Amino acid sequence: MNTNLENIKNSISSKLEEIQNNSKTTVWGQIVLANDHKTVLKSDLEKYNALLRMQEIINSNSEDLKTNHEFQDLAKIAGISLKEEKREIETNSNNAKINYESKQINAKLEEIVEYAKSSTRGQFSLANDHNSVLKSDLERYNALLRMQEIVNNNYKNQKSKYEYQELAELTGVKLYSEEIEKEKQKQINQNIKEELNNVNNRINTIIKESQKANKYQPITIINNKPILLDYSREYKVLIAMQSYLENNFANMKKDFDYMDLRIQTELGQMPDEKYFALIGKEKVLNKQVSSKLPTSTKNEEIKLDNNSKKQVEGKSPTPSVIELPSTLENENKLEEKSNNYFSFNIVPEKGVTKNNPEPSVSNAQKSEENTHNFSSQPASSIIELPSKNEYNTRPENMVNSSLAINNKDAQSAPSVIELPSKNEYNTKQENAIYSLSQNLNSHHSENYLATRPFTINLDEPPVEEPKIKVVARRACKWISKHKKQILIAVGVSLLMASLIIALQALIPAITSMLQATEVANLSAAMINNGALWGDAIASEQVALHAANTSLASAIETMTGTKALYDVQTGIWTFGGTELTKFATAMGANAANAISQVGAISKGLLTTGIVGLGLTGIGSALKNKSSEYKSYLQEIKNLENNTYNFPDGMADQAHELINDIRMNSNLNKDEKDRLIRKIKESIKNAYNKLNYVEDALEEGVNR
Amino acid sequence: MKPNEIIDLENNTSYLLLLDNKIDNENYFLAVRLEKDDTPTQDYIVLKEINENNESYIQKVNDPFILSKLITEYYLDLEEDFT
Repeated sequence: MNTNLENIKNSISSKLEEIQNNSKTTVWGQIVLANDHKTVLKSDLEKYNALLRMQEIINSNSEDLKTNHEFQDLAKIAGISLKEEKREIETNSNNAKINYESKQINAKLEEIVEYAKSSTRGQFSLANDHNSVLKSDLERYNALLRMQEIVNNNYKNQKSKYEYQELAELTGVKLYSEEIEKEKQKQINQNIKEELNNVNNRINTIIKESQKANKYQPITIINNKPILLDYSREYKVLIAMQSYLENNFANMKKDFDYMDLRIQTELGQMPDEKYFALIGKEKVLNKQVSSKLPTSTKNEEIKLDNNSKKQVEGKSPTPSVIELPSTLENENKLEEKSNNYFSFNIVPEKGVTKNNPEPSVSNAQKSEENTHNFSSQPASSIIELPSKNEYNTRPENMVNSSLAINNKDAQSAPSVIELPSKNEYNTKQENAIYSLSQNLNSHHSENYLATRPFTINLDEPPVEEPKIKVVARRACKWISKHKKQILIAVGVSLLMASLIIALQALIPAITSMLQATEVANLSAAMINNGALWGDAIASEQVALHAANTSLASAIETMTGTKALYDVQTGIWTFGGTELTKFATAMGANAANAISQVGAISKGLLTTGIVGLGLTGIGSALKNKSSEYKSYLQEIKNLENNTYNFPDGMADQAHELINDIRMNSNLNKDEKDRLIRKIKESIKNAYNKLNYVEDALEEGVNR
Repeated sequence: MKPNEIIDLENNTSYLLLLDNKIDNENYFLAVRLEKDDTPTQDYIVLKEINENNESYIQKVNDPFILSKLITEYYLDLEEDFT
């Protein structure tokens, strides 16, 4: 026996003595019998028995060692330091695991035995270790014994891969790894909380900045909040990030989905270590070890195959500290992507070129694009952020293409909620304006339009059109008021039809209420165009019909209601209902809608989005007060009464302007409009007078 | 530039100006492109007038929010001035 062993023996003896003394001097505490039938404190029992067993092993020259590691394991329990080679290769985590779990197992075994002893009634059975326990505890007791056996064998003698874990579930023994996990989760939660704060702060900053927007800064509505168009993309990304964080990344499909989003925001890229700590993953994996391990892991319990056992034998096989992705394939991808992230300057989406046929959306986005039904999204709704390539960038010829309703496509489109296809929107706004009615052919339910999230790509700033020099200006000799009326009606109809679609794509907050208003507007415009038909010449009739076709297409797109034109009767029907009846019904819906528009519309009015897309022309027109109409008439009279020009007219105009400004029944837009009309009237009157004077002068000279 | 005028552009296209409007002191026009013989097409656009060095330029308007505002105004003009 070497000196070291002698030291160990001495150590054991002194510790045994110490524990016995401790039990004698302690005033209170549970006293139990140890294996040598001596009384010890219950808290010391495990340690004491371990020391006894160690003593026994030494005395038997290690002949009755149950496992190779039994002595080391007992030494750990007993708190004896062993200066042996094997000791060095045991990891701290393994020791801690054994300690943690053994203590629980022993305590539970003891508890059951004690309970059986104290029980005066009930059926008793003999357990596998021949202890008498209550029959109701028998299964659990034997399971604990088996766990003890497995632990004593350093987890190597399990009958099946998950035996120990299953036993733990049965007995209620908490696995060490779970405790570790809890601690880790605690840290992760803290990280998530901090990150969530960062995200929320940025969101609040954007909201505040957007609230300061001036009247003509483009605003979009996201989650009922007006957001500056410049920030809209980042805002949506932040909302998606928020969703990941609030779900503890449970809804994140790929490890880098969150990072993909983060780099698109002001928050920027996160250091890799911090990122992996945030999402609770290990960044660097020991490839040599992990590649030998089976891919399927259950609760981090990993069984080694034979080859692996050979390779790692003698080293801690305890798997609980090793975290693996679910598949090795994923691991490789993870590392590959990791390299991408940290080695190359990848700018998702913006870096896409024509040569890359795939949109550079994140993996999660990409997969969601194919499969997601937005109705199944959480309340915060993960927002799709399609890349540039998802939209058609080819130039469109405005008029001809926008005239026909492509019902073929519309009919084949599914009625369920779906994501827009790549070609549904143009990135260039000029194209969007003129060709959206052509591109947006699919039938969507009203609900779809009301609930669909923002899907248009906004990171590309509006394309600046070139300035074109005006080389000549001349008066139009052929235009009459009637012709002009038709031209304007057609032009406004065509632009309106396409723009409403564009705005709906831009503004997700459009509600079904507002849609009703817009549909009413579109159908009303169709009726107006129809009214012009009778007095129009053939070419004008063609134009008017084209305008109505475009409007009908927009209605179809918005409502999913089939539009049909009867060539013989010249009557449009929507879902079998004649246009006039349809318009009346829509008007009634709109009237109801307008009364309920509330905050959204008011918000839009104040932020300058006074377009037909949301506030509704219909509401602007149909709700015009009698005062507005009265002022309008006064302005017309002003223009016609040029007899007191210029002083009398100026005074009258001045008085009228002040009156309008002071009128609290008119909204700002109405006031601006009326005042603009007054100015135009004065200008027109001046032009008329000049014309008269010129004519007079010409007559005199002649 | 003013409504009822035809403007000939450097790129050999002509537009008839139908309606005008002003936003932030910028002049905008609803315009229809004309054929060579001044027949109106169905190519409608909104133009912004730019005056530089005593010369006039136009620029096609793309911003959907400006367009939205303008078209609303044009629609109202149509309703109020032509009916």
